[in-house]
Amino acid sequence: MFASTVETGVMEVGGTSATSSSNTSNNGGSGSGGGNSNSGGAGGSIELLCPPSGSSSISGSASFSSNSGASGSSSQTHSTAISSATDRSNNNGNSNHNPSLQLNGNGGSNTRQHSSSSSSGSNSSSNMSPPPSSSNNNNHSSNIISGFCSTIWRSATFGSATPVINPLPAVHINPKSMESSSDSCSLSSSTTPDVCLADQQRNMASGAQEQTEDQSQTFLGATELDDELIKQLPKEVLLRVFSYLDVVSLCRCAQVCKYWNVLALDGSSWQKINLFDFQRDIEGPVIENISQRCRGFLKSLSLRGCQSVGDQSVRTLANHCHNIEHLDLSDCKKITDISTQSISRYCSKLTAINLHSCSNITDNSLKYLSDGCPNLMEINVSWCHLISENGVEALARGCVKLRKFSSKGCKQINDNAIMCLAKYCPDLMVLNLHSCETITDSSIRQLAANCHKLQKLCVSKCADLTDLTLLSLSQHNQLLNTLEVSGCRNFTDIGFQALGRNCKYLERMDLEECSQITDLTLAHLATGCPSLEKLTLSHCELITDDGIRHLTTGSCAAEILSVLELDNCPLITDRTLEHLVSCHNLQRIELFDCQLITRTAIRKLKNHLPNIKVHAYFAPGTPPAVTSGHRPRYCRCCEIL
Amino acid sequence: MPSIKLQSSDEEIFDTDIQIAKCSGTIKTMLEDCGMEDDENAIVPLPNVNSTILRKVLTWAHYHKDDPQPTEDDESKEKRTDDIISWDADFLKVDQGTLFELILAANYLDIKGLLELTCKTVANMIKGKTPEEIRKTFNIKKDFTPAEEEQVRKENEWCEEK
Repeated sequence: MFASTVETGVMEVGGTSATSSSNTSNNGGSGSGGGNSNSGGAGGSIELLCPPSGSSSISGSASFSSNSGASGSSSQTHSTAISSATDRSNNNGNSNHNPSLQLNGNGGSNTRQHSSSSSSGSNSSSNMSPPPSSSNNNNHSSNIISGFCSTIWRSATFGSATPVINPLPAVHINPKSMESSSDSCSLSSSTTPDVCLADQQRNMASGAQEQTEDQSQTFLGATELDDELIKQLPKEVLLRVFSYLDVVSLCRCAQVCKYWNVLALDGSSWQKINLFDFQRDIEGPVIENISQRCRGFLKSLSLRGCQSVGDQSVRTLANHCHNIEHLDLSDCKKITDISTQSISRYCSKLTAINLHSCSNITDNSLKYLSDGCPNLMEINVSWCHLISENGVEALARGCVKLRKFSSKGCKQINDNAIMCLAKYCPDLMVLNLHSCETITDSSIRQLAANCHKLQKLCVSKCADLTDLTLLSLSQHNQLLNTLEVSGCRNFTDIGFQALGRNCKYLERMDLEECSQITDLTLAHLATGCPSLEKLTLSHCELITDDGIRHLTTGSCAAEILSVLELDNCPLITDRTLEHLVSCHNLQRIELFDCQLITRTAIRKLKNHLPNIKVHAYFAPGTPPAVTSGHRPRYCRCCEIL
Repeated sequence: MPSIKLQSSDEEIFDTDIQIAKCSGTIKTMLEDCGMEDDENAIVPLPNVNSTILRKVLTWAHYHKDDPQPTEDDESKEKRTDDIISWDADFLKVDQGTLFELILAANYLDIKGLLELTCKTVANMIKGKTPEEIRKTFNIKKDFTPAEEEQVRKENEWCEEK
């Protein structure tokens, strides 16, 4: 009985190029999940990666092959294993043990698996083994198949990511999308005639309806033998290899041979593109090429720092890539509201946009996005200094799903803007208002009261805020895990006492220059915040060794606390370092300008915590007498938000 | 530590620590679904993997037995190929045939870490090469007609412009 399990497995692995019908039948029997454990989990993934509209959509076929013998040698293996485990008696009859397939991994065995799988669990799969002679090399048929195997990769990934529980990704056929031809095919010169594809797809569709015979064998033509070892690899493995390649390498792979051309231009390889590593002075034509190559497949594009990119390029992009979800345009300093206008017009699925330092962007951009991108969840308009309350109000009204909003250095962002966010965007989780200097307690209190999911908040350099802000945060936002309040000089121990009492998930806190806080704050945080991992106390000049002692007795100290910044805390002495010995997880400590710390104490600390990085500066010779002048400030590279 | 027996395609038996064997999703599923875990004498036949390759796979699995399980997050994060540790790099100093057989075995046995490693290695063999060099590396025949080749070259030349 067990042997049969394994043998079936063998067959499935061999069946690299066997196509469709196994899955068609799976698809066809809409309730087919029954016998194959829960196959629903992966369904979502496939929906995600199928571009549902536009000429490029080949989702139906893509899902097919993802599930076919061809693509899913691993996933199919599992499914077989499971089905045979669950219905062992049924599977006894369907084993064709052929060890010779071992090397010919992509041999052309036609698998008909679960051909009428219904909830009864009668997986009457029958595996037909081809003659060994033809089993070596069916790349020809693979060529044809691969045209519509796009997105195979993602689903294949899924298959193996959740191998046992979800052996067969649930696949939903979308007949509309099956009629459209493959994007990659039309681009790939002459390799795969579209007609052929369409035929194949129709075949598969009909197969789905009938839930029966294997249509794919028509396409498993015999091919010549040769010793191109790499052709042993099933195409989902080759796609996996390609998934590690950058844009340039993919384009070169496309020129290797016909088979590679199809695979390299497969939409699944082009879902995520980051041109940051590619070339900074990227010009319009490149964007145009990428747009046309990726079309509906492109879901994530980073043009960060591509300073030559202008409105025309972004317009082309938006025009072609309607399904884009993540767009990073930070430091594309040339773009203006015209870019966001075209994004708004064509890219309604956009969920995240980064316009960091796009300084020509005005309130109009936010209005456009508000009109055209209702799914927007993340936006970064930091250093877009023209943005004001009007734009934010429009955005908040239109994009109520907003979770992340970042407007560092937008000095025109005021209380009204924040109140609009608070009013319309209850899901807000991350808010960065660094240097939005005019905001006051009243808006933050409203924000705290309305946005209970708030997890990360940065109000550094918002110097008008007082303890009232901290009190309302502690009252309403228990999920808070990151709080940056650098330079909020009005905050006192009272505020942090409240915070320590209620916000037990706090992990990272930046209290730089909260110059009124004393050791009491540390005592409160030590008792109330067991998850505290990073704490910045730079320029908190009242902190003493006693405060650090409190901290090291707290619940976070021993295992969690990993970064402690104490630069410019003039009162701490070597005793602080003695206390810190008990913080086993401490990775880094900042001690610049802590004049009372000695080298010996640092050496002792390092003896106890050999991996710790200590940043300190000792003037040559004896420590200088008290200098009141300004030292160059240590460059703080580790901002959290 | 309980062990199980794995049988390669050429019928060699490998006495294997059960935890190591279970880095293979395929074997894990078999064991769990067939209730074989407690059966000391159970033999798991792996007719798709020969003894040479299986020995290598088990060597790898032994070295990596304490690796954390890859999560789904890992799948979505940026793909790097420059993070291969030196033990793995040495382990994969093999001929192409062996490398590909290892990939097939990792794929069949569903060993994510090994599959990832081997695929990265192949990706590294591709990176930085011209199409002709790639063909040479993998002994791939150019099946384009001159006209097709020219067209494909044109289609992709944009990425070469620096």
